[in-house]
Amino acid sequence: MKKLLFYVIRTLSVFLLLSVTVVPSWVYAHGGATGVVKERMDAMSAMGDAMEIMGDMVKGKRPFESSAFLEGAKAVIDHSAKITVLFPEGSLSAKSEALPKLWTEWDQFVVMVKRTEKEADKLAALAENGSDSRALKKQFVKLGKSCKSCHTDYRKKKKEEH
Amino acid sequence: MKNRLFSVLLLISTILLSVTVMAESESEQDSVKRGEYIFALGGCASCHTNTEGDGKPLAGGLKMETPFGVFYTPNISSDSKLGIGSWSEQDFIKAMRKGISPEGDHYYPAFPYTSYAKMTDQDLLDLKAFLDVQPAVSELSKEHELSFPFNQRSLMAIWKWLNFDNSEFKSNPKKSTSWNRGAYIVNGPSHCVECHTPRNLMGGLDTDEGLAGNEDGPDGEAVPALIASNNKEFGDWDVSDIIFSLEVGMKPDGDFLGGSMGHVIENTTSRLSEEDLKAIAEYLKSPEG
Ligand code: HEC
Ligand code: HEC
Ligand code: HEC
Repeated sequence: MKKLLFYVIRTLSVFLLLSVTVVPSWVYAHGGATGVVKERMDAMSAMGDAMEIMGDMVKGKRPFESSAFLEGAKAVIDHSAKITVLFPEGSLSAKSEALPKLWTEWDQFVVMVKRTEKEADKLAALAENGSDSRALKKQFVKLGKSCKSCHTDYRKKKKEEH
Repeated sequence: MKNRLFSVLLLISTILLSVTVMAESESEQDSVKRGEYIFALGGCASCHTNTEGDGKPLAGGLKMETPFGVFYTPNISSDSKLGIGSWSEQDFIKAMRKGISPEGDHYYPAFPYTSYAKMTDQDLLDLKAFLDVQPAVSELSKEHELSFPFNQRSLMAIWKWLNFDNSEFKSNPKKSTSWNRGAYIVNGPSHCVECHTPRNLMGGLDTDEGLAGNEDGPDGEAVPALIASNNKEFGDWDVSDIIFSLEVGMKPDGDFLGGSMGHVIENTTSRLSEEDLKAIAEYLKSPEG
């Protein structure tokens, strides 16, 4: 009986020890890095969804509504305000398409985030002032160029996992 | 009397001469203007202007890392010593179409003459006229850093023999003018195939797999296919989606293109006429594209 108790305690303590050393580091690698990469992908995708709706209007696939441009621009402003926080130094993973040089060129990266915010601000202002569709389309294209510029410098397409 | 006749003749010939000079400079200016468009169509700035390193226009110096070693693009500004300012039209056409330098050396296919070979004489001459009037930059081109045996230019003769189809562009009489224009742009000056077509073990284009994508593109970048059978998503894009992605960079789902395609959009497709973008889209949408 005593022997059995001793055995159980030993097994438990080994398990505890293991859980202290092994499990937390696994939790860290998973929850930490993957978490923030996933978070920024979600933020980027949300901006993409906003751009999709406006883009369809610019392409003439959806009826034009300037209220949609105000809403879309605001969504981009909200999400772009979080971008810098979602790229903590060295946060990469197998799934991430971010290029590590964004951290060595951090100032430039921040300038690009600000540019997206600024172009989205202008789009929101135009939509609020009741500008015509031509003006909105033109500003939408400028905003899109700011997304493309950053993706040109700091993102690289990876092959899909099969 | 004789004197009068002489001065009249002189006057007439001066007028005639100035008229022809004017006509010539006018057609020369037209050529330069067309050449500027060809320059965008060819995306020369993507490689010969090192924007990231704050390089001067056309002075080269862009670093290209490949499995064979590091290439640096050369100076193609109009400097007569360090650029290509002293080249004749024939020198230029031979370089662009045969991949051979004025000294008779073979170029490496990191210079996509493999596609430029399809360009028409007129386009190449206009392009040269444009390059000739760009500012000269007196900067020495950097030497490539290639390992043996790739540092032997003469080997490129064998490579070309196996991989280089230098036949001229043939239009397809069964297709529309616009489709043929698209085929010319994609396979010729805009060299879309250089990235979007997979390569064989020797680094030559696998022409049986035209535009089938390249998962391990240059610099480890994945390049998507532009044919519906290999890229279902792309197969669902309509003509307006393709044009919008080439003009602005936006995919139908709101994501934005980037990486090396970002440079192609910046230097080439965002500068093309609506007509040419339509032609590209028509070609890519067709089963042959
Ligand atoms: C300052 C740089 C920067 C700006 C500006 C930027 N992006 Fe991104 N974006 C990135 C990077 C880097 C990634 C890759 C993130 C990763 O994979 O870790 C990315 C990824 C994405 C993705 C893919 C997300 C996923 O699920 O993988 C979408 C969609 C996207 N961006 C849309 C946009 C849109 C729309 C805009 C403009 C409104 C924009 N981005 C502006 C840097 C930027
Ligand atoms: C994908 C990158 C790339 C593009 C695009 C490109 N080039 Fe080049 N080019 C190179 C490289 C690399 C070399 C050097 C080849 C070698 O050393 O064998 C080169 C060499 C040349 C040369 C020979 C220069 C010399 O000093 O011998 C000329 C001329 C030239 N390119 C013109 C052009 C023109 C005109 C365009 C646009 C229509 C263009 N290139 C587009 C990469 C490129
Ligand atoms: C220097 C290499 C390169 C060249 C040249 C090039 N592309 Fe691309 N292309 C890419 C890469 C890389 C991507 C993926 C970019 C991304 O998703 O961010 C791409 C993506 C695309 C896409 C989007 C496809 C999809 O399913 O997402 C289209 C359309 C496209 N290219 C058309 C063209 C056309 C037309 C040309 C010629 C005018 C061209 N490309 C020339 C590298 C290239």
